[in-house]
Amino acid sequence: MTMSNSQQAPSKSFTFALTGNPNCGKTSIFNEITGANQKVGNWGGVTVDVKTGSIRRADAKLYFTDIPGTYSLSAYTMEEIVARDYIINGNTDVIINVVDSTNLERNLYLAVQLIELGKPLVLAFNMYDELNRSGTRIDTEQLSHLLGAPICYTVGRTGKGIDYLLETAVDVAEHSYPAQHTVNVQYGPDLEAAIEKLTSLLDKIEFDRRGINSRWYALKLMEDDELVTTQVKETEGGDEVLEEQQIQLQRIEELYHEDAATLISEKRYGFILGAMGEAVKRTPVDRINLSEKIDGIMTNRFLAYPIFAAFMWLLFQATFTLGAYPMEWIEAGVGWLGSTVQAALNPSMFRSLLVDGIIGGVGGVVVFLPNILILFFGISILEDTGYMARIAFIMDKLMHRIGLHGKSFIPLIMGIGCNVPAIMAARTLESNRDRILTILIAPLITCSARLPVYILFAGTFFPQNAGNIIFMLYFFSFFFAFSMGLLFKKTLFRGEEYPFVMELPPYRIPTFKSSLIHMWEKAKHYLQKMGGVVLVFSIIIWFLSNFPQQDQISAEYAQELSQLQTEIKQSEDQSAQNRLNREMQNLRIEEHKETMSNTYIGQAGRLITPVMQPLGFDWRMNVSLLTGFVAKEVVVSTLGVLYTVGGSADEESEALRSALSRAYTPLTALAFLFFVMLYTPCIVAFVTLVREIQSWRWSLFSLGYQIALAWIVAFIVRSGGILLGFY
Amino acid sequence: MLDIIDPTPSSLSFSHRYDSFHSKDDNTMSTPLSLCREGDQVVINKITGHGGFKKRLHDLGFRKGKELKVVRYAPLRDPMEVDMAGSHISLRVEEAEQIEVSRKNDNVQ
Repeated sequence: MTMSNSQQAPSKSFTFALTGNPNCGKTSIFNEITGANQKVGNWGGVTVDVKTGSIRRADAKLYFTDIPGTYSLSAYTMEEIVARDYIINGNTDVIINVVDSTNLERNLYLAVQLIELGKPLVLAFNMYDELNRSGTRIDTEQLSHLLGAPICYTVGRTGKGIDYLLETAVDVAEHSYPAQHTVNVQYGPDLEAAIEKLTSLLDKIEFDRRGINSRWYALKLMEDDELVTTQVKETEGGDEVLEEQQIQLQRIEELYHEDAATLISEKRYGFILGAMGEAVKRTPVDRINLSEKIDGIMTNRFLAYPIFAAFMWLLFQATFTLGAYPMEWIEAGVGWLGSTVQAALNPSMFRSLLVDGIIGGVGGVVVFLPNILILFFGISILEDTGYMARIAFIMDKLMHRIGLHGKSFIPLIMGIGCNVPAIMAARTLESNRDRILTILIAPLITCSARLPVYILFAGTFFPQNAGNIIFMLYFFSFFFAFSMGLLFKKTLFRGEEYPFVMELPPYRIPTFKSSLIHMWEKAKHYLQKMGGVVLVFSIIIWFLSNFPQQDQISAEYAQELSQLQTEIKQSEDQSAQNRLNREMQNLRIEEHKETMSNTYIGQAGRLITPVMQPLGFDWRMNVSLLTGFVAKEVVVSTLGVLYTVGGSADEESEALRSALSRAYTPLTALAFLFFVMLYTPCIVAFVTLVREIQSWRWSLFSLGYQIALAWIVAFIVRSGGILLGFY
Repeated sequence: MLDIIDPTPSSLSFSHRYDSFHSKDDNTMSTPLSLCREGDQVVINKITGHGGFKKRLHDLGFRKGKELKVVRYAPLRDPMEVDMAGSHISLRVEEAEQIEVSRKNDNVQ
């Protein structure tokens, strides 16, 4: 894709909306056009948000919007409602409908509905290379004439044909494209009569038609479309129209023993098949479907779960075993930077801020970047190959048991990466009930930000079994998510469930590039979060843990210290000197502890100590948990700041580990891990949750139940451990 | 090939519903999709479901006269996967009960 480099300001600007079925390659075309590298997944609902991008082309500025994939305009899922809203209400010059040309019949079903809307439209027949290989030939001119919209051929993966697509889209936007004519599907005399009747009634009432003709609204009424019906109902004089709608629906039902929506759908397919019959020549080939063969193994009765478990195991091993090497290098780098800065500057408040606050805090998070990169790379591959959808397929029975949809497993598993996209991925769920339930339990899934805490504590307290402990934590986070799901289903969400019908997209080999892009996307997100939120909070925490300054205490200790120092100098005896040295070291730690516990953050941590006492947590843990609400990985950097003695920033993680192992028992560490696993997600996740769940009542419920659950589970872990004699 | 055990857990409770289909539709060989076995090739006679479910099926191309092949059942015998003109759709057994089909051939015996 070439972009114009012309320096002059663009004189024209056009907006385009990219729409199409899930898995039609829409997002890769969007990426190819705008260069914005955002998610291209094989899962039919990766693009949950409306994304935009713009380019300059010749003397025009072109704006593109990538709207969620949809099978039709009869909005069914949340995403489809978003998509439909955008198509109907959005101010676009031209709609670009991306069509998977290897599955024309179904993909044109959306196209026909777009044609009926009467808005300027361009059809992009994507995956044209695959179509060619299958031996199918299309009479483009004929088909374009029949559908009343220009057809362009594209290959999203390679970017082939996209330039011509843009040229055509701009031509259509400028009305310079040869005559677009309105094509109407004919629905047969009885339906047409009903549509006509409703159209004339609709013409008499005043409502915002968004530039769409009354016929379309009449058609939607005959389809018994909920959104249009509501819109008409709220309009003055709308009752009369709806009365007629009922009469007509009943009449059709009596005549055909079938509802009007079914007949309309059949007529649309009839129109598509008619057009294809005239313009598409298919060579029947005996396809050896590789996808089917793979599925024969992947979803095999006996192999499906072992394979699934094996993939998960592989993902973990790669993340932790492989990730350990670059982790060491980064750690060494951060340590070197800290000690270099330490040596270069004179002791001051500023040096303390720089070394302990900024380098220490941010460094503690950067260290986990390799783990996160590998994990996300793996998740990208799962998504891009299409295996994610098979996970939903083999998991539905189980998910259904806890009142969820097989699709709910995807948000939950996405939660391993980050709870924010996980909560957003719940939009693919059809019913509000499924969505709320999924969103409520999704934050319990261990996200990547919790991983640093796991690695730190598991590595420190269970060095021989770190991997097993972490695996167990992941296992338990799913266990608790499922248990809570079941509990909520039985108590809060009794009632009917919504249908499960979904496409299993063909397996595709992900390009290394696209997997890398996805990995980078997520890593970028992680880094941005770290660079922004974590940096700000490292500074705030540094401030809260250094102020108010306790001059009096410092002075007292300084006096005692200098006294000890003179004693050491005077002493001739070696053993006495050693004893005094030890005393001095203890005194320093003592001083640190005392000043720390009097700082603002220490005060806050102590304030909640009575509540956390039964869990064995001290004020430092409490403080780190408080700051963990900002972002879970901050728990680590807070502990880092709270435990870093003086200027010993060298090998910071090691220093922290030894400090932690001195301060806590393994049992307390385990209780702490469970608490971190279950308590409220970070502020970003919570903000997303509030936005997605659209109810303060549920949002606060989510907040409350997670903290309560975390406390109860941590208490059980600790009490149980004590009872079993592991203190 | 091995005889595959009837995958529908609710085959008992189903029988009376099945009769009610027949009273309306005279197609002699009509059975619900949920009673089909892996490998069966069928033609859709009628979709009896309602609302969103029915619309979704239309969107995906399910309609009267359309041919389907039952590809497989998930390991836990639910949901099932069907192949419709090359696109693979999965649906729950309880949903497949709402799609009436007639078998083209029984190749699993």
